[in-house]
Amino acid sequence: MARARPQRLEEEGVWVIPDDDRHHPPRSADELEDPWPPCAEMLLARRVARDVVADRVAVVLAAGPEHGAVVRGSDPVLVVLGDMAETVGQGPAHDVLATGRPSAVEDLHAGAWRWPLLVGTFAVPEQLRSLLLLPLRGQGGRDDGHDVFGVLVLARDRPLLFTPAQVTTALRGSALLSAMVMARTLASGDGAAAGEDLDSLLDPRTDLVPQAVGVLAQRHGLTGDDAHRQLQATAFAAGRTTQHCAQLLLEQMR
Amino acid sequence: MDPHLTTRDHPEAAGARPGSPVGGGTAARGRPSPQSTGAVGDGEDLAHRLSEMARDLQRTPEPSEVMVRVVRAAVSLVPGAQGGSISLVRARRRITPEGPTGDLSVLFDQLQEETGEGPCLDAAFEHETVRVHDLATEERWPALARRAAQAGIHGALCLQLFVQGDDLGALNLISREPGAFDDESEQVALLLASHAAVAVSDALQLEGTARALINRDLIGQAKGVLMERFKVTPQQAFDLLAQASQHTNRKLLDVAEELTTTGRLGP
Repeated sequence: MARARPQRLEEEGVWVIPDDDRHHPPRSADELEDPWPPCAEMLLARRVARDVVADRVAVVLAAGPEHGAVVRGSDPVLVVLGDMAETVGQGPAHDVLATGRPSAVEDLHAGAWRWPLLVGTFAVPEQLRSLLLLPLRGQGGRDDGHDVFGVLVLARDRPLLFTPAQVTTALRGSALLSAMVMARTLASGDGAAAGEDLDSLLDPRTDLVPQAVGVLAQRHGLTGDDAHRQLQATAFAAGRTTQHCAQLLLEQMR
Repeated sequence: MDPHLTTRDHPEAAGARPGSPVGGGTAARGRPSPQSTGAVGDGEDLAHRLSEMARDLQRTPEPSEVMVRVVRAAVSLVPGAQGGSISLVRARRRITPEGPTGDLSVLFDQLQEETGEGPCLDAAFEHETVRVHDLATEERWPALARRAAQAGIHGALCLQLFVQGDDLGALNLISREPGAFDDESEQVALLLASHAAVAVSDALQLEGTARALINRDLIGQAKGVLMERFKVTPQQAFDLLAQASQHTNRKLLDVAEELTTTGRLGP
């Protein structure tokens, strides 16, 4: 897919991706190896992955389309896919968050036409083939998707659909995972304290995009929303993820 | 005057002649009041109405709207109820009325917060159902009872809804009539509270999880503003936020929010 360059940010002189990074490939999965010990939620997710014979697992939390975070210890290749989807605003996990329904993808490469912007902008990681995505949700049994706050993503490196029994197992796991995540934030009515409760749960790189947004907002007198949109536009036009651009911007400051 | 304070013969309430506990769920929702004899009537219609309410609540995403609907349903279904609210007790001290049907319901919560006593606080903290025949003659909460009765509140029925850490919730129903609440009222309210507890608790937990994510982004953005403004590291930026929070005696989140919206750090 042809995309217009140069990007809006560069036209306006707001921020320019450095020349020496333009020809580098997007951040590889190897760079994302997590040095932190996995949290209880990730241990559970990995157990579910083992039980359903998945090669990879990731857990994503979200509050609407603009506030997402990856749980510490998530598979690096799935994290890269998530970064790509976040940049273009579409992808398998976005569908689950929007509908509240589980989703199965027999072969990501054969079925990627469902997310044209995603595949038109990025080379989807080769390793990812079959996916099973399950919503993390409240316990009230709503059927309208309004209670979805995250996604458990299970992936295989070969195109082989998950069986009904495996789906059932994964659904049980996602229900337990949902309860565990919610338990972290119910103890306090204080939002800041609840945020701190997530510190040990979320990947610390989750902070990079908000920090970069703050930097751009301060530097160019933008609102937070405008700065975020600008960062996304720059990333999209350059074929990079928002996460990658945020990291570059922050590295430039050192 | 509470403009929404209805009479006992509310058309919907009059149609609901409740019966024996449906699903037998009353024991889990607090102890019955000392006055309760457990006597109740026929309940097929009530079961239908409660199921409708539960479905309605499932379709309601916002906690505040869930609580408004719970209170409306309670005033409609519980015999004797003329007004009501849900008292949210934050950190075991601050009381916030949610979904009040009118000024009188708000006043009842305010009086309980001011006096530090009352049937709803007892219900919330003691895990029990509290039924008040007439506040004008009530001796359990003398300071509250006198002022509430002067305002025209006589009957009250309060039930614990949920406990989440240091946060508690109680469903409060009030009446201008002494003796408005009987065993039947209590049984219906207990059944309703069981459904409402699930919906309210779930909505609040979801809100807490979403808020935690949004707040993290807000604090991260504030750190970015300070990193650019003062050429500091992320940790130094966080320390600046924490210092501003301490010096102004405000929550770190409030400091971050002001910084990102107005650019001001501190007063």
